[in-house]
This record gives sequence, structure tokens and C-alpha cells, in this order.
Amino acid sequence: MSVIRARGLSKRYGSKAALDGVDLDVQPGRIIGLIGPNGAGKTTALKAILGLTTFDGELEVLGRDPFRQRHALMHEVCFIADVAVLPRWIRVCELIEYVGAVHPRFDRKHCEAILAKTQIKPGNRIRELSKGMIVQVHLALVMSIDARLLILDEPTLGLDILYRKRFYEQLLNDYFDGERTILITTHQVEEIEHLLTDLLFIRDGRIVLDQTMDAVAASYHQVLVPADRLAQARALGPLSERRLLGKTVCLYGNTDAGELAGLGEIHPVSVADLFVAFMETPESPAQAGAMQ
Amino acid sequence: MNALKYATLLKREYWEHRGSLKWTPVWIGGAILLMLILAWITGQSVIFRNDGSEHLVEGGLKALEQHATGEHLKMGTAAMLYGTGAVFSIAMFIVLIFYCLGALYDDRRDRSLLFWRSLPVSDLETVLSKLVMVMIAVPLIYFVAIVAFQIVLLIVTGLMVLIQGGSPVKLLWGPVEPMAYWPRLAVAFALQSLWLLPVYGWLLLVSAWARSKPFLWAVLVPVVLAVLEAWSSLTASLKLGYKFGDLLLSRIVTGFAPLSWSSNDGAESMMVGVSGERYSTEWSVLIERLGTLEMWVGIAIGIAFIAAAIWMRRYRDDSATT
Repeated sequence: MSVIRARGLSKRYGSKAALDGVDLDVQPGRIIGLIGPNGAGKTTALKAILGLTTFDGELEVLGRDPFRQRHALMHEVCFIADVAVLPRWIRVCELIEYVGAVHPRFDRKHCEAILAKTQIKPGNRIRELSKGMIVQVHLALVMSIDARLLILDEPTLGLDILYRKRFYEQLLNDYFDGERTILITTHQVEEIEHLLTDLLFIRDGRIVLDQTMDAVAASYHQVLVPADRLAQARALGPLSERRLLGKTVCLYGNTDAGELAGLGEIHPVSVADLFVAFMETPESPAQAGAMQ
Repeated sequence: MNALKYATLLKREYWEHRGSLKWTPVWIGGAILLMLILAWITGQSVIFRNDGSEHLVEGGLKALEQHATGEHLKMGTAAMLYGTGAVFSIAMFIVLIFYCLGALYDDRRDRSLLFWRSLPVSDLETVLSKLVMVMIAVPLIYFVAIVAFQIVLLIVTGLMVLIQGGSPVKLLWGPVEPMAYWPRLAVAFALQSLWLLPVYGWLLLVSAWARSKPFLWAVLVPVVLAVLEAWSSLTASLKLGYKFGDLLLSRIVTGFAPLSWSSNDGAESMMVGVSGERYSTEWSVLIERLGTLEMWVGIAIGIAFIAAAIWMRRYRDDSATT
């Protein structure tokens, strides 16, 4: 059974379509990066998945309609929507007591053990903590909930690099067990690239790329083309071109690697480069690629 | 599990409002006692300065002991209980107004709403937990505070009388009838919760609905409605049906005059039940209120407001941008 299954998922705000017919199948045990520019519909998609907004089309999360069954769904779904959402007036120990009482899948001892390793005291109020510490508290809570789907929406926004690194390390080493599913959106693509198993690009409310990281690595290549072979390189229809130290970097999708080898040095594609290529081209490059 | 869950939802409310639920009653009680003690000390110093008149207080107490009838003493001590109780009740109503207005608004403003909604608690449970606080838990807390304060007050004033050479048993502890006052206060609080249900419901609805300035909306809408209603009844060109604005405003006013609604004459009723014989009539007045159409119309409107607040909480989508 898919963890998330969407067919023609749409959401309009006035005349603007935030989501425009999204089809999606998320399998268990995956770590998916949902990447898109501001206003592409990431947050709307996450809100629909979390039952926080109405939508058109079909959407099932863990076999449930998220909007109608939001609070039942929250037994098995966790999310960190932004760093600032923990109430500022509450004490850490009160927060733990509260979550422990309302969430049947929360392991209080586990949460206290995680926090015991930090500088955070149970008596601290959230407003007394630094931004990084607040995220630590939130992550400790979430990591102590035995959920099947974890959604992270810009979880490390505004944190320094040390906290960001620790956040993802903890998530991968102490939380992810191969059965849980994690859906992450972030602008700091480089930092999550190595932990993703799947990649989703969203643009203007549409999914423009939906592949596993392995498939991405196999089908997308960058070639460092010297000036004299540029015409030849262009004939193969690169998805994007950019200048780099007197050479041209061409990005290809679904093109035979053997064919590319004659053009120049082949490099693996980073998610950031791929993202830029997908977002800068006037029409969807996936369609352009399919035409070749 | 579920009992613990619901108890914790209430606890959460208490944690958030510790200031107004714990410290406000403590400060009020402390302030009253402090004023009393200061007045007493001031009285002492005046007496000691004016040589020869140091027996003034003692003399006064003696006169009271000799001449005041039992009925007078009962009325005096009852006024002490009613008066101090009223201070707490008024403070409670102010606390409740702001409690309701913030209940479904503050977490939207500070964006903790998303955190609360990431937990398996339904919006119905959230709103009802706040309603239980407003109608039951907060009045209970203030009731206990009043009882505790008045016990301390009787002890402190009794000691003052004793130090001045009077008999606290004869003047204070004998005639005072807390067992006639406290049960009535409890019933009055319970009835007040029902009577003010349309006010609480309205405030909760505004709290769930307003994008900003809930206080302004909460006051402005009933005022404008009341003006429209008054105008429509004058010109008779427009029939608005039930007077919502009027109902809300008049009940907000009665909220500030504790127990005033328990009698037909608001101003006089502050003193209703002060004398011993009137205690018995007040019971019937209290119960009678429960049987009035007004009471039940108010309850029905209150329930409708609360249902609308739950619906608002459930379906409103604040961030229309992605």
C-alpha cells in the first residue's frame, strides 16, 4: 500500500492554481525530497497531505482521507512544519507530559533520554531556548513517536550549519529504520542530497520530476564540453547549458553515456544543478527529453 | 488513556494561563489583606499619637458587643463575605473575557497552531476543553480561591479583634455564616456559567474567526447590532427578530455585577441574601432563573456560537499563500 497516493490533486486560491493535477505514489521506507521554488505548491501539497487544507481530486495518506480524518491520521503521521511552531510559553517538561498524554505512540522515556544528552533542561521554557535548541526539542518529540510518515517542511530554516548537520544525522541514524517514510522540503538541497532515496520536483503546481535517486544518477549526466565540440554537444539536445571556466557544462537526460563520452569529461549531476535546469527552462524539460 | 488525555488538555490550559488562574487570585487576596492590615496599622498609630483616645477601637468593639443585635452582626459579616467575593468574581469575569478571546486566536497568531494540530487531538476536543475551562474549571478555581481567602480573612480579622481586646467569637466567628454563603456562591457560579454561555460562545467564535484585533470585533459587532436593533424598533421598518446585540451587551454587563441577574432588580441584588431571612428566598430566585425562557434562549444561542467556533477552527485556512 502506498503511504501517499494522489490522483489529480488540485488546489486553487482564487484564480491561482497552487496545485494543478498532481499524481503521486509514495512507497513505505523511502526518504523523499520535495523540491521546488517558492510558490511552486510545496507547502500546499504538504498541507493537503496533513489534512490542514481542503483539496480537489483524490488523496489518500496511509489509506485515509487526510482532511476528513486528520486527527486519526495524526496517530501515525508527524510533522515539523517550521522551527517556530512550538508554543513559546510552555516548559519542556510540560510539552513532554502533554504529548505523552495525547499521543498513544509516544515514548516518553526515549524523549527524555534524547534531551538528557543536550543542554536543554526540563524546566526551560521554549522562549528561553535558542532556535537550534527549539528544533532539538521538536526533533526529540518527533523521534519518540512511532509514526509511519514524517513530514519535514524546511525543518532547519535559520539554523547554523552545526545544528543542521546534527539534525539530519540524528534523523538518519536514530530514527529512520527502513520502514518509515520521510518527506522533506528544503531549499538547502545540498545538505539532504545524500540521504534521499527519491526526488520530486514541483513547479507551478505540477510534479515535473518523480524518480528514485538511483534512476536520477543513471539517466542524468553533466558533460564538460570544450568550445570546439559545442555544436556537436548541442545537437544531442542538452537540458541546460552553463559556462564554467571557459568551457560549457551541458546537462543531459536519457542520453546514452557512451555517446556523451566523446564530448568531454562526464560528471555526476548534483540535485542542485538538476533543479536549476528544471526550473530555468521555459517548458518542462521532462517533456523535452521525452521527445528525443 | 482517554481520561488522562482530557485531563491533560485541561492541564495544558492551566499551564498557559497560570498567571490569571493562579497568581491573579493570590494577588487579589494579598492586596485586600494588605489594605486591611495597613488600615489597621494606620489606625493604631493615629490612636497612639492622640494621647488619651487609645481606647477608641476597644471602645468601639465594646459598644458593638453590647449594642449590636445578632441580626446586625450577621448582616455585617455577610457583607464582608459578599463584598470580597464580588471582587474575585469581577476579576474572574475579566479573566474569562480575555481567556475566551485568546483561546482560539493566540495559537494562530504565534503559529503554534500547526504544532497543536500535528497531534492526534481533534478540533472538537480542543474547543470543548477550552469551554470546560471557561464554564467549570475557572469558576471552580476562583470558588476555591474565594473560600480559602475568606477563611484567612476571618482568621486575620478575628486576631485583630482579639488584639484590640474584643471577642472574635461574639463579633465575628459566631455570627458569620459561611455555610449559608459558600453553597449559594457555588450554585450562583454554576448558573452564571449557563447565563453567560452566549457571551462565552460569542467570544470563542470571534477568537476562532478574527484575523486580528479580536477584542475590537467582539465589542464592535454587538454594539453595532444593538444600535441597528434600537433603530429598527423605533422606525419599525425593519424587523431583525431576536435582539442578539442587546442580549450580548446586557449579559456582558451582568457578568461584571456578580449574581445581579439572580434577581429582577440588578442594583439591589448585590445585597440580596445579606440578612439571614433573605438567604432562603435567594435559593428560590436562583432556581427560578433556570426555568426562564431567557436562560434557555441564551443557552441555545451559546451552543450555536460554539458550534460555529468549532466549525471555524476546523475549516479555516489562514495561510492562503504557498
